[in-house]
Amino acid sequence: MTVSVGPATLVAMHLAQGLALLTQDGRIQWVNDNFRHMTNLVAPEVVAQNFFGVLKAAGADQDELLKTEALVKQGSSVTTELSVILNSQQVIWWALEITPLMNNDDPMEQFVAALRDVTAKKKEELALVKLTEDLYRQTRDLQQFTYIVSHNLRGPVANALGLSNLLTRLKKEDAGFDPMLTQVRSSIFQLDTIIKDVNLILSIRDNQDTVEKEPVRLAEVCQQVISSLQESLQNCGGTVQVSIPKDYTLPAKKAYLYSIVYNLLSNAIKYRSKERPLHVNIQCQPGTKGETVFTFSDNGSGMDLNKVREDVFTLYKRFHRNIEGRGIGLFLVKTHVESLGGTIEIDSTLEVGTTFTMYLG
Amino acid sequence: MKTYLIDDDHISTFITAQTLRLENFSDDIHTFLCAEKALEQLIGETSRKESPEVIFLDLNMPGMNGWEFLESIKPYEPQLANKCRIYILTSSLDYTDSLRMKDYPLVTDLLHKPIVPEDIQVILAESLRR
Repeated sequence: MTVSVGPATLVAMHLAQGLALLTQDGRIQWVNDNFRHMTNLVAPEVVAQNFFGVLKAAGADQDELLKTEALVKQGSSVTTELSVILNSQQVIWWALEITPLMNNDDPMEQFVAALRDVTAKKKEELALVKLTEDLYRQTRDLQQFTYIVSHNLRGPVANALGLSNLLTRLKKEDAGFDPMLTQVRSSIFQLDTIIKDVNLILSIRDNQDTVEKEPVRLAEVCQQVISSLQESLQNCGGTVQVSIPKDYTLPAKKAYLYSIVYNLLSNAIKYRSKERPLHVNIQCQPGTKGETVFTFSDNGSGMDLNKVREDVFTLYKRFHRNIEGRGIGLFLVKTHVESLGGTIEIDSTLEVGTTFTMYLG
Repeated sequence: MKTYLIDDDHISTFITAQTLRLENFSDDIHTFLCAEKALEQLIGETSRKESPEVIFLDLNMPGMNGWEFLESIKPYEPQLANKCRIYILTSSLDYTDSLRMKDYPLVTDLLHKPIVPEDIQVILAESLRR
């Protein structure tokens, strides 16, 4: 048997691309060997099948296929990238290019489709996106630490310096000497506290990528926090309602969850309303993507988010002059939530209360 | 020389007031731990032509901060010009502060804490020159 093979056919047969010729309604007329190989299909079956159906069966992303098919039906030439799940585990990427063949009578009589494996390129691209995001986050953190150094560390240092300048002008017997020495001590203590804060925050951030999650009983953590704050709660007549099933677990790190609930509850106590006894509601429900939606709401003094939204979770930002605080609680809550791969939102109304909603994976 | 000291930090206020007294800068020092109170008193005293000659103003304060204080006294700038000089006194080393200060003509200079006798001598010299 002799088959005459022209140069065009030779190229089409041996090009390192999957090639297909399609009819006007998207059915396969001809494919090259590489197309069969890429889509894992056996010889005769493929002809007359719907091209997009074949790609779908091979594991290509369905949404992107539907979009492409719609564009092709309008007669456009399309270039797209498809993620493909091979054997329901390994993910690869295909670049797909479909071009209508122009014909004098009917401009959309046939289509040529070319399929190329671009997994290596796509993986590099995704790694770059991830790298950019990491860099962005690290730059933001660095800016925040510059701010801490220039504002918060400098304060107690300036005080210790100023006091020691004054001390050199006094004699040890002078009445003012000892009180001033006490102030030096408290400035240095303050400095030490800030350094410890910075250390704590950095250690959480360092562990961010290596947090080992374990199933944690959320209701149990809430109860532990409540008992450790029992005295303050009793003193202010506050009540906490935990509506979480006893056996409900979520993948997390127990110490982080404890810190989140502890900081939220001690804030609720600290910033309760003077008008009514404190009532806190803690609950959780499953989210749409398999995450846990964890809400913590109080009927406290609330905040005007129009004024403070930007700064609510910022380190060392404080909104209450008359209440003791270092401005680290909500910052730690957010850091811990993010270390667990979650997000946090706040909703608050002045003199009505505050609700924190956390989405934990 | 009537002087306002606006700073939420007790220790820092104490240091500044002590240094001002030791340098014989002033015996008439009014300290404010919050800027809102200082603003209220400044507006009242300005209307009675009793405004202070010098204000030391901290920047980083909860509630009204130093910049907001400067923004709030903008309407009184004509009455305060040539009578009152403001010195920003901050522990921050943020370079942008000294750029931003140029938006407020009442601000004479920016000083870094702690205030030292040399700073005070310069301020005294500046008040003599006027």
